[in-house]
Amino acid sequence: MSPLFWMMIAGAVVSCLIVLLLIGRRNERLVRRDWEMLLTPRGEKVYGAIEGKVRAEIGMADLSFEHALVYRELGTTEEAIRLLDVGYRVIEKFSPDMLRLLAAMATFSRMVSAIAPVKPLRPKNFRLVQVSSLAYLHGMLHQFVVSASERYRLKMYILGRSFGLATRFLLKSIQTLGMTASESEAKREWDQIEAIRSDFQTLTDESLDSLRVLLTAMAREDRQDLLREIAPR
Amino acid sequence: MSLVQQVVGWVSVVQSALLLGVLLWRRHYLRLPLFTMYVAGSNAFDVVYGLHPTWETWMLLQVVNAALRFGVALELTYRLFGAFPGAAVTARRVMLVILVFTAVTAIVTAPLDVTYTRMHAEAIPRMASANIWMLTVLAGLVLWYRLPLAPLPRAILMGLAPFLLLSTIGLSLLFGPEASRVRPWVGYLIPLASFFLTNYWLRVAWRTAPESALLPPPAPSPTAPVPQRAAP
Repeated sequence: MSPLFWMMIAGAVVSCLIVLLLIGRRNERLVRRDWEMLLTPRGEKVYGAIEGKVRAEIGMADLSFEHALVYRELGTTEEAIRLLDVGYRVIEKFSPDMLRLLAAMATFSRMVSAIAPVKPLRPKNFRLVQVSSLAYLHGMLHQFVVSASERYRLKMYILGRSFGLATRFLLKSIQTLGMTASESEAKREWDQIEAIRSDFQTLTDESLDSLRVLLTAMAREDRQDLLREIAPR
Repeated sequence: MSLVQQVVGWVSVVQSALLLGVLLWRRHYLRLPLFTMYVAGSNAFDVVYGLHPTWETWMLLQVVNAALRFGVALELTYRLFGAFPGAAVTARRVMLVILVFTAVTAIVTAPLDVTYTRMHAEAIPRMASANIWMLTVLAGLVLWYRLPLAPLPRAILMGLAPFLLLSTIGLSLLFGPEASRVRPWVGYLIPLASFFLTNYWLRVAWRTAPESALLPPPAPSPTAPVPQRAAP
């Protein structure tokens, strides 16, 4: 036998024992529970609950912004700014929850990489220039990262940054409007609020879509076969 | 063959027959047909070798066993990654690299004056080495993607790779300069390892079969709602 063969055997001994030790120490029940969450009606229930909560919160903020726009058109600027502030408070409360959700989704990225491709964000879907630029950046980086799990994590990161950016711009606009800005300045800020409002919707849709991919991608595959594999013993 | 070797050999045969029975009785063969064939094939050859304990029979047994183990590794790949296309693509690529690398090294490192018998004999540890790498890669990918493992495939993965390591090192030593000194030890070590491995598989196959093989198909569930934009 050649030295190369013995080197291969030595490598196999080390790597095989390490990998098998890790497999042996792995809690199969925990792994199965994670997959079960993703694949069964329970997983769909989880998605439904998260979607309901997210939609309710973003809808509440959206309603405040919509009413603020109506009041502004009627000339009641003070009331409009108060409603904007209400909307901002909802967003302020909503953003950390969303960031936590995105971070949790990123930790499951390896599972996604096993089952589904990841689509990059589309810049033209965003109205805020800065968020649109982030989407462009995402599109470029998406081509550079190789594995699907890296792509998924990148998307979660960009979504998180975009939420943060949009929230900051919203606060800035509300503050500018509160400081008795000139008519042209006020118009620009109201336009920006409209753009932020639209971008929040898009970001929420993208986040929920990513969550749905995570939770339901398996449904397209050989689900019964998989369920047989992961069924609790 | 010494008396102890013969006893261990026949006990292994009985145990393998039991394992085969359990695989059939518990309907594991539906999920792992190649593994069932491997158990049946190696058992049949063990019987032949027990009745005809010659070097040629032993060599033939080892070659057929090595080929069947390849089948088991491929079956495990299909079984573990079948429902995960993304991970399956990676697994297939790595398997191809291992197979090509094994073939290339076997051709490149073979001496020009090698005899047919020698080439044949050297092929067994090489196939086993490739098999070990395949199983290690499978285990690594299972860890990387956090894929679920059913008890019997897990037991095969956990048991076959260390057994192959042991038997490959043992068999390779038979072709070294110390062959005559290590031969009796290898003769004891491999059957004993095989005995413990079969025992492990037998216990797992017996305990887990009813749930894994006879599980009713799950009821169809409603599809997840498609996210819609909230009305402005």
